[in-house]
Amino acid sequence: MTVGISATATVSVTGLRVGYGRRVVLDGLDLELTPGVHGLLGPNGAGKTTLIRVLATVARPERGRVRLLDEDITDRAALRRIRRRLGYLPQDFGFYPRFTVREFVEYFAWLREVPRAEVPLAVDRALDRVGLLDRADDRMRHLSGGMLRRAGIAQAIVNDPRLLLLDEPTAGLDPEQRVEFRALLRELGIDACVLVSTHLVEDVGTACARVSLLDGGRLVFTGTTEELVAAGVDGGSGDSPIERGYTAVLRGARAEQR
Amino acid sequence: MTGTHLDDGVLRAYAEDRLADVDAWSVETHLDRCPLCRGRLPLDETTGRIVAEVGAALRDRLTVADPLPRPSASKPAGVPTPAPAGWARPGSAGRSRRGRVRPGTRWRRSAVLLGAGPAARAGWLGSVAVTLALVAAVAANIAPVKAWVLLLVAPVLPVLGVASSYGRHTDPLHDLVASTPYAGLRIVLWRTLSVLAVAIPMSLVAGAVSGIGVPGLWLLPSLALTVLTLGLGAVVEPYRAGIGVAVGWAVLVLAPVGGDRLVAPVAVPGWLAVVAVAVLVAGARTARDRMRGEVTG
Repeated sequence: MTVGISATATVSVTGLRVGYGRRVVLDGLDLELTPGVHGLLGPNGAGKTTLIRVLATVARPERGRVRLLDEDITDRAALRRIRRRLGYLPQDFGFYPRFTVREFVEYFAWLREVPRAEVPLAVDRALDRVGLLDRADDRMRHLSGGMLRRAGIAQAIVNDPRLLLLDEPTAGLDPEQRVEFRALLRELGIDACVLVSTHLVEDVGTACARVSLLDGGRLVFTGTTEELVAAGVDGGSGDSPIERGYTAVLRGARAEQR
Repeated sequence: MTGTHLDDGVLRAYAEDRLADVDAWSVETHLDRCPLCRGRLPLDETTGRIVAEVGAALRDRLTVADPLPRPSASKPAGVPTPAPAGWARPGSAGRSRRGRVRPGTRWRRSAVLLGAGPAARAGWLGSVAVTLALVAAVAANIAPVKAWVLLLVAPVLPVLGVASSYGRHTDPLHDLVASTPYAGLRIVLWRTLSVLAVAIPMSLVAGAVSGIGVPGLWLLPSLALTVLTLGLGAVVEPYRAGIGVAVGWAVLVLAPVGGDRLVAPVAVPGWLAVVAVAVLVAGARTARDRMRGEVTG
């Protein structure tokens, strides 16, 4: 079926370049993301975190155009509108140790400008979705690593974001929690654009419809999970089909560059 | 259409009745068997409003039917909460809700934004304690503590508080806060307000006890130095701005011309000039760099 109307992308990046001092982290990167769950794969140091920080409007592009939710991030008023609809969980995030879990999530509900009347319900709903409602009044410093990560996810979804950026969200989660997390991801991906960076290839295979692969600051692959698997049919090493696809694409990209 | 699902543009067009019949039929065929796309179908304005109203009405009803437990000062100690089996259990919201749920009011927002004075809180509470100790020492006439020490410390208190309240070096949540609409000047101003609320009375008390200058005029350097830190904080990391301002103040106080003139009526135009310059610096920076949306890089 072809209907002659194409969706506008939630994320549209063209010619993105980011560097720190003389080191170039991302160069000439183009990326389009539509609603759904997208995996962002790549070896350590490939630029995943930097890309996510740019999309979270925290890091600043040196060059290139970044449009989020149909608006340009260089426009100040638009930036504020974008940030209201943005959820972000950095890889390492601190917390104020005296905060309870509920206060932590509530703080971000206010910071993300959730309408006043909706704050209490939004906070408890977010806590419920990550299974932390019965720990809501515990202090942050008493939480285990996995629970902290879940509190982090709760603050990221408290404003019902249209664009949700999660940097290594499964770190610290045990296998059972990872399964639960993937179910939540699929649910969130129904009406939001969710970008999940991970170095665990298996996370991508089960939860993400589309995958992008970064290597050395460049986008070396973007497509469906099936297409990544297909790339590894002849060649590539690894224990699962998707791992073989991952290594095959990386090798191909590196050979090309030489 | 992307892959096996309808894309947003198509759904919107369908909802707004902008599709040709043939296309609309095929959209319907897909919607019939795809709950995912059905869920994504945008509501028209009237339907959306009705859904929102019903939601609001139900929410009030639910609150009545399920009164929130009042804040209990004594949490049953030693009773471990059973860990949830899985984490997204539908419908568990009402059942396991406990503890203190505060209504979302303007007051609550102010309380949260002011009270969340981050790691900085320890810093400025510490400096308040130091000032109080100094005030007590001067008041009790303890020999080694001279009144000018108060002049050296009290007006820079808010500066240190502001400097340590924002930026990746001092705020453990900096990256997260920077991605919210409150990032930058707005959150800095809230935090400044929370610092000033404590530091200004301290400054007045110190001024009264020290006997230097006019006590009321101690407010001026406090405010001017704070604004100067905010202004410089738009150019360099706030903690550097704070250190710079504090050092500058120390030099002025210890200069042979006499620190007491800093809190005398003669200094008023000078402080107003400092405020004006700081505002200009911050303004110029903001204009040149509108994109950034935060005070630090």
